[in-house]
Amino acid sequence: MLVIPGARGLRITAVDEAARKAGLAPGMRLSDARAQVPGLVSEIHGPDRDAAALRRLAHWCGRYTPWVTTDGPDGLWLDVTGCAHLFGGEEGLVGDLVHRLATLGFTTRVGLAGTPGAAWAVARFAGPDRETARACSVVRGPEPASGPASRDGERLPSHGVIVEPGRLMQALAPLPVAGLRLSDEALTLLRRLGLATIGRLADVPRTGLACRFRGEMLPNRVLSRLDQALGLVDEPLSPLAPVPQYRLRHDFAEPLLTTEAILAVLDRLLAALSRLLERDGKGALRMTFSLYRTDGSVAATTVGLSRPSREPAHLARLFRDRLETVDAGYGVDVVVLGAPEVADLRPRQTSLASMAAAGQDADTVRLADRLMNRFGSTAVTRPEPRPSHVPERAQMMVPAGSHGGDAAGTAIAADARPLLLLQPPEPARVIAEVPEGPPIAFTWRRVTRRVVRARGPERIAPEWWRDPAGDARPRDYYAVEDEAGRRYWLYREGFYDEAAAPRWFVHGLFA
Amino acid sequence: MQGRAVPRPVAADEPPVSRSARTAVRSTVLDRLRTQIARIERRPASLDGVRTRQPRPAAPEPWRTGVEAIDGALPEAGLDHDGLHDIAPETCADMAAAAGFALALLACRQETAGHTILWCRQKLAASEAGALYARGLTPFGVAPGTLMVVTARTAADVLWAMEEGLRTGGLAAVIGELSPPDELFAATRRLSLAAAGGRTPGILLLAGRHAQPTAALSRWAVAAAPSAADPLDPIGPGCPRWRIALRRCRGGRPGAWTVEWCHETCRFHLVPAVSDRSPALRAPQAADDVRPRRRPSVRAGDPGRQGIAHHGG
Repeated sequence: MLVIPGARGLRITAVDEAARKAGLAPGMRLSDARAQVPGLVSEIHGPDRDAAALRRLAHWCGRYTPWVTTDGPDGLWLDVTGCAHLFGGEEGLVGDLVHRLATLGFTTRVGLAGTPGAAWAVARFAGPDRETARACSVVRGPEPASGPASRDGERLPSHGVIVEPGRLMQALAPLPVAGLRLSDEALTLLRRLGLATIGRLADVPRTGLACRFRGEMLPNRVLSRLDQALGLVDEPLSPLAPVPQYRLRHDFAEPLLTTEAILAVLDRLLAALSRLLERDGKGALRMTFSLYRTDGSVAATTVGLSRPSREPAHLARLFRDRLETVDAGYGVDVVVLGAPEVADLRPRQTSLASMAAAGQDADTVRLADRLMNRFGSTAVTRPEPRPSHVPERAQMMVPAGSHGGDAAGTAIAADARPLLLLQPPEPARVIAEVPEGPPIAFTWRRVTRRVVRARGPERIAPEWWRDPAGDARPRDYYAVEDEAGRRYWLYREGFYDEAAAPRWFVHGLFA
Repeated sequence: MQGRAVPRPVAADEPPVSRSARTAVRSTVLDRLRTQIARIERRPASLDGVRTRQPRPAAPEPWRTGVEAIDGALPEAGLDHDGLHDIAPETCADMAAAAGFALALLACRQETAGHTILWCRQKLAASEAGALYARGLTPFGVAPGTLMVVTARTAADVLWAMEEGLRTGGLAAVIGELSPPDELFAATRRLSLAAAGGRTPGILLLAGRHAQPTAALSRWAVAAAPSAADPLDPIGPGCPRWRIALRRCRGGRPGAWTVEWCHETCRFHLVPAVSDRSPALRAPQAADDVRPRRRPSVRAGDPGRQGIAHHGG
């Protein structure tokens, strides 16, 4: 039983079967309920945790279709178009879904129809004992563990209702108008009008109906919901995760327990997917391998590639590094391999001369991919020169493996720049000649160094077009050497004859 | 002896085996044994059966520094191409010098010019020493496009990345910049096996002082040394100089030298034991002649220290 803190103490929000039989219902105060049933067990209701659980369940439903999204606090949408035949038809799919969810401890109502609206209505309001059975086929779930509970007919076991093709209207007609996903306001009005079922509502002429409502929003909404349920208007829903165009799944008769077995299956799927990609002249940029465990959890592994690839051995190696840590749990019964991001990858004619270089380049790219998938894409970089005179802007670290740009950077004397650049520049206390002599001694990282040799200044003016505030100051750079022969790159920001005193920084270290 | 009938009459025509010929035979045998011993010494991997190496397709040029004194101290007059080398900065502040020496050594290796260098850095070491700056790498013959930098958090991750790089093959070198982990010998042993397998030289730049042994084939200690005056700028720093010490080298002799690296020619030069400090800088009064703009008013750049007069220098 779940409770939430209300204005007057804790109130009940949800009850289980046993509590319902004891006469408890949502909305009661916990203290009243305790008076009725002394040994009551209650938990604080956490809507966030419920939502998280629903999302997990949505990901789990990825085993049926890649196209899954959540609906409100307690519903899931699954677009199973073109998926049902994999489970032995619609009955097979719904039966499988209901049974598996029952095993996981969920009581479910499943509706399957030609439109999302109809499926919503059927799932919530159609039952096996209603007259809707004429237009629908019903899939019964397993009997609940507590057998006698369902005897009173109040709470039914899980079941699924499938609307037969072409009989949408018959199936919807006996259902209450609440099945149209309407607001309370609209429902009150319809009840006042005596339109209790969807069939009645559909029979009323549209213009007449519009006149009965005040305003324009309400009738439009009622009618559009009706149209959506009947399939006269399309209702697009967006899935939780983007649906990959390239996707392969594999079912196992018995759950797999070892990583080796999973890797063997992965190799087969990768080979098949690479054939698909090759046919279309594509290469994957990102791939996801999802393991659906028998206990209802999903372990998804994603690898990224710096350049499109469809080489099974390389992709397998990337996954292998990551899958070593994945726990198969109680066993994996479905695996899905998808390529959510692909790019063009046409075969290219290579000349004999460029083959060795191309092979070596490919090796380097593969290495970059492996490192990237272990340390993250920002950890594997290469420097790229940029056309700027400001030292920290003259170089940008870009992901390794990306194609080099044609930015050539600015021409500077070969040995005028340090090997290591401090980012950001570190302030130093400097004794220097005024106004623009080189440093004589400086203190940096708490050590005072006496300058023996110095070259400079090299003046670098700020890039005014990047500095709208106009407070950037020109810098005078000096390459200096201390008594031990260590070389530093210092700069003075500003001038001594300005109002604000100039500041000194150590910006780099020469080899 | 020659006049007597012998079972082999042919021998009579043969000249007797002279002393010099015997020496020649002996020296070839000795040479062969020496090579064998050298191979065994430098490749213990084939002995303990961890990895048996295929014979080389062709003997590559030795990896020479170009300085005779140093090359003479190295086995086979050069460094091992596919081994692990440990280049340690003498103090923390000498990391830039050590990195420079490593790059200079790689620049001496001609075969892999233009191949990618993988530089694996530990995050802490990287933030301490600063970011690699591509423009500072070009004097060592490293184009920006041929450098791949990996930054990892732990030393174990850096070692993993290095091993991956060494096994890949085809790289110019793998450089690892990290603080020494606990099991340094075991970790570097793996790396040296990977280096031999991937035919790639690995270079360890271990930050901070440590007394742990490594499995590297050679171990160097590098410190910066005062440079000579730039011929075009008498008070400016000249070519970088490093005091390098070969602490340990399998099959080589330890030694210490001071070398100068010339960016223009990409070559090492041995610096004579006595440095030729320009007299202008040794005597301050002479320096005044060189720097005519010198003024007596000198003050601190730091606002808090303004007004402190500083004389001399």
